Amino acid sequence: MLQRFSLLDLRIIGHYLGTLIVFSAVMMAVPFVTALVFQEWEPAARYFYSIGIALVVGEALRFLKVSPARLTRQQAFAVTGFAWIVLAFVCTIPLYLSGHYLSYMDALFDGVSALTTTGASVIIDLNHLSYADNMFRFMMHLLGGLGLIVVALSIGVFGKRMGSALYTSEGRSEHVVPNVVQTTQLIARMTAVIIAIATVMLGLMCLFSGMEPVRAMLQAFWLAITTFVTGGFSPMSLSVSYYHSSTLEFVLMVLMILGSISFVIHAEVWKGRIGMFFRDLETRTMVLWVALMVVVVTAACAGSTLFSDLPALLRRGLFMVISAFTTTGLQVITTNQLTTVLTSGAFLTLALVMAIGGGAGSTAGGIKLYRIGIICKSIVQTIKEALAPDSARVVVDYNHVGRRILTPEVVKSAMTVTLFYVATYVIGALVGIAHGYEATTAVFESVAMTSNGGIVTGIVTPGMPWSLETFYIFQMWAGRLEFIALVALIVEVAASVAPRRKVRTR
Amino acid sequence: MRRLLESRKVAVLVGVLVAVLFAICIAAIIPRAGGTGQATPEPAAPAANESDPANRVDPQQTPDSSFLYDTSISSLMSADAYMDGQTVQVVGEVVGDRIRAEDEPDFCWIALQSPTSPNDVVMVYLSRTLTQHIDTYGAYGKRGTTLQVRGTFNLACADHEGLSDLHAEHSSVVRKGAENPDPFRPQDFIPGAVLLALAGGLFFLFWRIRESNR
Repeated sequence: MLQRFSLLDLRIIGHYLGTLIVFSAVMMAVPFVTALVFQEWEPAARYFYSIGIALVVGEALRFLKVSPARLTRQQAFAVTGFAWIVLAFVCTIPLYLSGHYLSYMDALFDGVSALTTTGASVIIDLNHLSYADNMFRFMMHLLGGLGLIVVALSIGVFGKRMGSALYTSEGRSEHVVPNVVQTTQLIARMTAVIIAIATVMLGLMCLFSGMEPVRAMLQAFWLAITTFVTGGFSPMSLSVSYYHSSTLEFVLMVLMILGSISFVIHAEVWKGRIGMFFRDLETRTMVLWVALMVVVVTAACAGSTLFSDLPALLRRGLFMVISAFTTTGLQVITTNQLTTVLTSGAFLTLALVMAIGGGAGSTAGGIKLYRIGIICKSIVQTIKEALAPDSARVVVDYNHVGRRILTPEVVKSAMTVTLFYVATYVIGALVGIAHGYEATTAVFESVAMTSNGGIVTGIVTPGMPWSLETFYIFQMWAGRLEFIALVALIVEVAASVAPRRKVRTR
Repeated sequence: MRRLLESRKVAVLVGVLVAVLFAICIAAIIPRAGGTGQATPEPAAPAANESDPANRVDPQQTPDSSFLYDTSISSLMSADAYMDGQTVQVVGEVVGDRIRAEDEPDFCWIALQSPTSPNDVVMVYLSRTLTQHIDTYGAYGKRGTTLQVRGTFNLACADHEGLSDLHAEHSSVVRKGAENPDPFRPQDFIPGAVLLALAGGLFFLFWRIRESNR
């Protein structure tokens, strides 16, 4: 029997959502300070106002339950599921007021895209956006990439007792250290160190390329965030091709790959257990998959008359494959080139690479290499069982932070999530086709939204049809939560709304 | 008798019409005969053109770069292979920074943004001397110099590893840039201050209720 939300459940959920909204006001303080430093008074007033709204709404929601009990698993799923969309609504306020969006819906699209690290944008005139607004967009990327709950837990927003239920509800199950709060703090610390090092390196490159020191360091910081959390927003509308630097592109590729590796494996490597990285099922799947896809994209591009020479393939093709596989979404070719210069084969291969995505437990999106590896192992097990005598018991193992036995539960979980992804890819493509777009671009865009890949081909534009925009927002949300938390939430809400059946007594 | 009269009238009318038509025909023929009218093309002329190889239409001929397309940046952003290698002329605002070209110290890159469609931006590769008259690079609170740039458009440039770019040969300033810094208006901060005070009150009330519950 499905559990319904009681009034008490709703009050507790409301209280914690209020806490998260108050927390989002703290995040808005970063662009507010940025605006003050650079004397951008209009954005400063706007962020001051948005902070006020967030604090009032958040504090009001906290009154729903003044002293809440510890979250149950059911409540944790609801808090996590709603948090991503509620925070997007609040964070959209300063973006919409900036005047860089045609409608609130467009601003909401960008807010959800930022938090889910999709990276697709419908902003207008990005090149004239203030430092404060840019800072806010990348702060949202950072928060969303690490996970709203992870960040909130790591700084103690939910107190010390909350944790496990919330942590697992955000699609994470790995524990770097036994304590959940310590795990989240370690993840935040690793991210901070990597982003700091990358900012210095990229800043020097930007300075060398002729940029002003302030712009160079800010853009380096934003690029470091967007690549490591596999976000996809860029401070300039030309994305990475704006910088015209092969060295910078190389560093970004390394960062994107680092961002697509599970934090657990990062932690193991930091502890000096490098062997674990190379033995891991996910690493092996990644190497095989990326190598195969690079060959396929190269072969497909070779048929193109304009994009078939080796330097172009090495610089543009490789970057695009890595950007797609890590679901970052940064581009070194224009949207027009995607559809006119690339062959349809290369185009669809990029969509496939995005659909599979990066590592589980990382900031990357998509189905995840871990699940593909598990499904492949399951196929191996099935074949072995078919060939083995009836009395034999076939055991297949794999390495993922230690040696593990392949169990039916693990395979079922991987298959379920994979099927959810594939179904959403197909439905999203059909929705795009129903809106009159070409099938190939509709498929590509649907995959880009659900996998949080963010490489777009022209359907996602300012003022796009609101019905399609709504569906894409849903796809980004569902993909980021990896379906389970969202589906559980939808079922719970449906069960709570449905009228109770009357029990007939004779 | 009446029938007879009617038939005579008809005969007279027909006679008048025939006479008028005849006169018109004569009037039309006389100028030709005199050679004073407009000359009709001679039937031999087309044959003479066909024999001239320089004047033949070649359906296999590909577009060359000698033709100048006065186009827009938006058109370049949605260009197909036909535009590749064409000489074009566009007008746009310079935004961002002047980026040094790798391994080519005398050349650099600028980004030119469409004045009508601000999401359309083309990368322009040009010599550093052509950038000397750029006074402002567009950013927040800055309107960049509006340039007219003439050059060769590449859909996938062979010199720059497949980049879609415009190799500038000439540039001129259409409009100077300008800086428009935000004015500081304290009244803009009043709504935020009111909300912040309200939030402070709510926080205090929440804290009091929670403490009293303990």
